[in-house]
Amino acid sequence: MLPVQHRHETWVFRGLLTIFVFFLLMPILWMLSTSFKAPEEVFLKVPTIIPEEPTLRNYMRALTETRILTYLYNGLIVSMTNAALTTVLAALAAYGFAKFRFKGRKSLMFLMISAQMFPYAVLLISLYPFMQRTGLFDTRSGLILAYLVFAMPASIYILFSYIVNLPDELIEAARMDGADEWLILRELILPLLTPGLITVFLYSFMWSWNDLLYSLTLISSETKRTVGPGLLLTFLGEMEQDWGAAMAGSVIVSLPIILAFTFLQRFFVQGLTAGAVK
Amino acid sequence: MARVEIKNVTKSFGATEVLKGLDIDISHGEFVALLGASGCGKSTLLRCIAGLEDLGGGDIRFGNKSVINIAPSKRGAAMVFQSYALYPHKTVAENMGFALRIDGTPKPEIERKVGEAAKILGITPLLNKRPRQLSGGQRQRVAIGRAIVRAPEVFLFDEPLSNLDAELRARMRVELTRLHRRLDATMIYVTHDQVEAMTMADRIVVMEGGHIQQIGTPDDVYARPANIYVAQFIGTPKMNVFKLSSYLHLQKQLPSAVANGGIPHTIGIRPEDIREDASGALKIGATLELSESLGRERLYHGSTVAGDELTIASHKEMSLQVGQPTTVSFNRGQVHMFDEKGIRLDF
Repeated sequence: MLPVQHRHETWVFRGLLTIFVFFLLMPILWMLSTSFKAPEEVFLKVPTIIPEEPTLRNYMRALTETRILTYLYNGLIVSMTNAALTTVLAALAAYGFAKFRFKGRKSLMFLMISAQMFPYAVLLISLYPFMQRTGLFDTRSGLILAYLVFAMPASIYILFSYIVNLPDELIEAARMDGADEWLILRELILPLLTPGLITVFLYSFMWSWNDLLYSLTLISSETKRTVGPGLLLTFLGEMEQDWGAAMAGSVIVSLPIILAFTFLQRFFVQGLTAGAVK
Repeated sequence: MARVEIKNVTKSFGATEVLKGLDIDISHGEFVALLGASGCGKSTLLRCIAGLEDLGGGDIRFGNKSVINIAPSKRGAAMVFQSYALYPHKTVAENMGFALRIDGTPKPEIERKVGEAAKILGITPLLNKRPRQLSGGQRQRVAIGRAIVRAPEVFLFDEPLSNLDAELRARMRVELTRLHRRLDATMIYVTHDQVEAMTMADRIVVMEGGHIQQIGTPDDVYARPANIYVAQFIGTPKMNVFKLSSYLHLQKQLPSAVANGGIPHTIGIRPEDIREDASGALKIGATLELSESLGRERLYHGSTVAGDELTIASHKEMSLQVGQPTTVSFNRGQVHMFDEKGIRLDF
């Protein structure tokens, strides 16, 4: 049995944890709850958590009366392409930084990582005219490129931590076996890097999927809009606020991320903690 | 025929020169051990031979062909790494057949060669397992198997037994020696363990500070060490070394100069050559401070009257009392003499 003092500490800890979990889960619970409520129930003075008369009307409205499917399609195209490109390019860069010695290696790596130091919004100011001048403004390619700039530094660093821990002797053994650098990367490094690659893929996918600022600024056509700005501009206008449909839309656009996480979260946690202990 | 010639090989890492002009000539089928303490350059030399490091200068020839501009995989050498370096995501069979697959060898041929190598090493039941499912000794065999399937002219071993426990190491020593006889290939074996070098090698290259201190058969380096470094490095416990100027009575009993004009400065006596009594021709006063039993023999540690460290290895329980002054002795034929620079003098 625990001493009295320890029992008190345990209860304090549990209390704090409960408050923390409440604040973490409340918005999700609220989103789910509201998405099943009729419009009149949404604005009750005493809000309900469990809808009195659950309805799928919000979902129907979100799917049929808005362009949410277009936003989903655009979001998937942009996020998948960004995630795939980030993963491939970051793996190549990280392999180079981790296993090859060349002049300026450390400075170059520092330069790449230092892109993280600039506030997200600040770089948009310089990216905006660049996109306009290069004809990439209001294109999905331009948006992908912008996301790539921001996802790459952290992704390179994550994969670098993985690769640098792979023994050099493994690569040397492959060289002795006759493998060239591409084969070593394909047959040896990438398979051993799977958790790291999944981590980076998920990270960059989430990054672009959840973005609002860049997508809102760099995309002006309704048909190219992604989920963040799409939801905002559709449901939360100045004159009208359709919270029920907005929440139903939010649930729909959260599904890809929830599904991806459910299947891949084991790798994601492994990936983020890799190299923490030897 | 895989004769390996190492000619005036140098190598530096930045400003640090790690190989300082090495020359070694290894005959076909010979088993040569590169022996030395950590940092002596033995692994760097092996990596240069493998092609994993570029040379600073000099030449390495396999047969009559210089290999310094040839890719590691094309040199006809296979290497067994200290950590085994098995590909963790591949099965044992895939690990062993990887080089052949890259080479474009047909699948049935790969299977046949892998099967043969596995049979030699007794690892046939392990072919479908992955490295993490194997013990240290099994991984070691797989690493050797990966080298064997390539049928190289030269095998390079980089401290392959250092991760194994003492019993397994002793067993693997015997297996590697058998394998060498069976394959009739040239083998170059890096180790810091003199027992491995002494038991397996046809010749030992003793290295220190990027230099070769001596090349010779195991008996040669033990019985006729070229200098004080080799004398003290080879043999456990290490050779006792005394400056003659501290033992004037010995100076009178030993030659003051040898045939080649060298003047004895230091003498060395192996611990097992010292008698625990005064029956030998040359005597030294000593005090023994502690003894260690190794089962088969007993070691006595103490100091001489001149204050030098003294170790005696005896197969019998000595009658002398620990802590009491006594006289120990040895014969002239058991004395190794060295000049002021530590170079061996023969008399």
